[in-house]
Amino acid sequence: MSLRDQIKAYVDGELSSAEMQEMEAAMKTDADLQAEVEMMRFLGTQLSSARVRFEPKGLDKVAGRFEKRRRWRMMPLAVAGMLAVGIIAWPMVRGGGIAGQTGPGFVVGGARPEGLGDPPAVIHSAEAGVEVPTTETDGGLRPAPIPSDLNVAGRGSFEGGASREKGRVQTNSAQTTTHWYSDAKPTRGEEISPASSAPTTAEAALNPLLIRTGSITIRVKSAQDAMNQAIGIAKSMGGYHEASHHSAGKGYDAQADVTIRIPVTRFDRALSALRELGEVTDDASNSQDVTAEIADVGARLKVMRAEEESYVTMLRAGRRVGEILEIKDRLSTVRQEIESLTAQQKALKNQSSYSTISCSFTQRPQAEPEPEPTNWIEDAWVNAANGAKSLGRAIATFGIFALSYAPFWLPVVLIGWFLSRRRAV
Amino acid sequence: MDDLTTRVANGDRAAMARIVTEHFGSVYAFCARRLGPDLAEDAAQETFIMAYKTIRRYDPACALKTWLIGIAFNICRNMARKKRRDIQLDQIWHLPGGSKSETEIVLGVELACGLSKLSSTHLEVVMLHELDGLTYDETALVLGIPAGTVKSRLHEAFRQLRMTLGEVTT
Repeated sequence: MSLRDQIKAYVDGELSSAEMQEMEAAMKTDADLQAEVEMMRFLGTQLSSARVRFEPKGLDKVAGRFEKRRRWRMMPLAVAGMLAVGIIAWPMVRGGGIAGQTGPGFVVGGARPEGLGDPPAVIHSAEAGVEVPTTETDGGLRPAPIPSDLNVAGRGSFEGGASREKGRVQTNSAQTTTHWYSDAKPTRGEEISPASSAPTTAEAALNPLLIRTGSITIRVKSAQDAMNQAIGIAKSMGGYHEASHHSAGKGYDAQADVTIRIPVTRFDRALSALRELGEVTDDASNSQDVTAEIADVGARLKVMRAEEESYVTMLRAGRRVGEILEIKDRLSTVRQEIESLTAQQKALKNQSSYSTISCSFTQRPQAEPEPEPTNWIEDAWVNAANGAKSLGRAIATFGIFALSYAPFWLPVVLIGWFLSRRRAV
Repeated sequence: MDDLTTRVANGDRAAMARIVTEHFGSVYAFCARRLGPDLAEDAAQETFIMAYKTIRRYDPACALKTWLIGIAFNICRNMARKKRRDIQLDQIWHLPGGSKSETEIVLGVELACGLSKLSSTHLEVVMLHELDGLTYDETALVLGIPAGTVKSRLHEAFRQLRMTLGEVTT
């Protein structure tokens, strides 16, 4: 059995002293082993601490089965004791109670002894988890009628706000957990009105949130310089350059593209400054009002957060595994949606606070250089020299070829020469 | 056989009542975990009656509590078979709730899932050791298996629980 198989036994103190020492020595050098031991210990603690503690029922009954005879033996004593208590208590009851007693005392036969004050007024009456509101009538406190719109069975929510104002109405946490099965989403009353979180129409009209985009194509002397200037304009206006690309070429082939982000309030000024850089060949701009969209996302976000909160409350109150797993699934769905909406809101806010301008710079075509006048003698000399060079190169090439193929042609030539010589002889 | 059990063996019912008073809580809890609180009282009562009848067979080498739990184990098994009652995990372990943090709740769910995946043999060993507080030897005695088997079953059960942690959240 390996050391890792002994972890549980080590945690439970069920190993021999030698094995314990071996495990402890290994733990000092093996951090993973130590972590595993800690995890086992943690699991054991969790299991023990989470156990249901049962209140034993029926101890008297079971113990009584074995004590029966003894109990009957004790019966005369018990009867005598009861009689003694009765005899002592009787004069006190007749005399109006024990001195100094103010509350209702020991009552025999259901008759209320004289001299005792009225029972204390019932101020609160707890029924089905609801603290019933009280009204003052005839100098005493009486329970007020429960409002008809209050669901006493308790779903933890109110359909109308009026009942909340009428009295101190509370529901306990156990009741609030019951409504999620029927409809897990918060009731309308719990939802946050989009109007409360979103900018009002008047605000929107005064300060609309716009996404502004522009694209401009400019012919310039130097694409590289123009690109640097455009970046400089973005920085001087509190913006930044998002992307740029420059392709170096000859003449009109050189091109540079740059995307700059400018605070939306300086969009027009930036475009004007860019136009100054050269000859504008193409210019386009676009505006999109996203005020309503941002408001909508914000409102949905608030609703989702309220929903998340209610699920967390339900999760805390949940008891059954299936129930808790279902709430947990819904909670993670809601959280994913919240994250998505948050990202959407952030992107929209970013886009509406910084406008985007895409600039394309093309370089103007440069004039071709004129050919310079030349000397014919020099030309003739250069041509002759080049010709001689070519001839020499051709002869050298032939020689190299002839030498390379000598094994093929040399024997043939030698045989021919030998035969012709012999014939001549 | 100690003085108390000797007296019971000699027919001293009062001594038996003392044993009941001392051990009723643990026997009742043992039965409640396996049968539910509604049948636990009957099972516990039957356990002590059976113990009273068979006290002469008690071996003082093992603790009285272990011997009683051994009897309760058989009675619960028979009653569960008759009543077709399975072990309900949510009657044994509290799922974290109330004011506990969300992490603790999720951990509780993971543990509950892990426990529900354990086989009945592994779960029984976990319950006897972790909840009833029996040692490996006592658990082995109750189940009638070697202590080494208890050790390996417990290790396997905890290894499975360890594996389950994290599966639910992902």
